[in-house]
Amino acid sequence: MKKLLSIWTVGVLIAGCDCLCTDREFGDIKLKLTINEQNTTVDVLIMEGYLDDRDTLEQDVVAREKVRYKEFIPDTYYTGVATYQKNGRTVKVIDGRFMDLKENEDCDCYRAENITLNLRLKE
Amino acid sequence: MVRILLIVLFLFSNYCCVSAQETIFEPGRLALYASLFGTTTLDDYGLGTELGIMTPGRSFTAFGFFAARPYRRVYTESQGNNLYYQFREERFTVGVGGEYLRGFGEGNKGLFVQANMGYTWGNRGGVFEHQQKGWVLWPRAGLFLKISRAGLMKMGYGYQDIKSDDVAPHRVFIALSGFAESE
Repeated sequence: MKKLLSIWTVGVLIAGCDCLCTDREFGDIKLKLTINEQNTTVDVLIMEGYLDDRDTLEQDVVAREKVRYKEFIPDTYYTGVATYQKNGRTVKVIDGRFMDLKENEDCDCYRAENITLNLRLKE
Repeated sequence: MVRILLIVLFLFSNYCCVSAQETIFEPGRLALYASLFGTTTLDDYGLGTELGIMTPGRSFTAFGFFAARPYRRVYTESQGNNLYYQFREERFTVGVGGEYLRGFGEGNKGLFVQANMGYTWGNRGGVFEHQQKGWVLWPRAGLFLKISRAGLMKMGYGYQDIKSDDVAPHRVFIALSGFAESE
C-alpha cells in the first residue's frame, strides 16, 4: 500500500497535476414548473435558440414541479416554454439561458454546464 | 412615494436656514470615493456601486456607477386573444453622476443632491431583444449622516426611470459611502 502511495505521489509531482478530470460533452436542462389545481399537468417545450427561432428540441407533458432533460449540446442558448391556464387565460411562461462549456485549464478538459430554466407561474 | 418626498422637503425646510457650512468633512486633498447603494419601490429593488473622486473641499463628487437588479423580475404581457406571455428580466444600468453635499451647521447631518445619467437595458430569458432600454436621467436628493471621519450614510428619494411601464420610477434610495485620500 505504501509503495502504491509513493508511486502515486511521485506521479503527481512529475505530472504537476492531481486532477481526475473527464470531459462532459453534454449538459442537462432542469425545468422548474408550477403544478396546481388548474394545472395538474403542464405542456413544456425546450427550444434551441430564442423564442422567435421556434426550433423545438423537446415537447412533453409534465406532472411534476421539477423535471430534468439530459444530453444537450453546450455552447448553445436554450429557451423553455410552459403553458398554463390561469382564470380562463392562457399564460405561456418563457425563460432562456446559455449553456456554457467550461474549460478546466489545469486538467485540460471541458465540462458542459447544467442550466435551470424557471418556468414557474407567477401567483 | 409622494409622502417620502414631502418628508425630505420638510426636513430640508427645517435645516436649510441654519447657518449651513460648506462641508462637515475636514477638507484635504483629492480623494477616491466609493459607494454601495440600494433603491426600492413596492414591487422592485436594485443594487449598485459608485466609484469616483471627491474634491478637496469634500462638497462635490464625480463618479461612474453600475446598477443592477439582484434578481430576475417577472413581467407579464398580453399577446391578445386571452394569451399572455410571462418573462423573467435582468436589468443593468451604467453611467456617470455628480453629487453635492452640504452640512447642516454643526453636527453630523447634511443634505445631498445627486444627478446621474446612464444607459439602461434588460435581458429577458428566451427573448433575443426587447425595447425596454435607453438613456436615463436619475436625480436624487435626501439626507446624509456622517458615520466616521470619511464615511457617510445617505437616505432619500430617487427618480429612477428604468424604461418599464410596469415599475414606478419613484424610489427610496439608501447608500453607504466613503472616501480615502492617497498617502
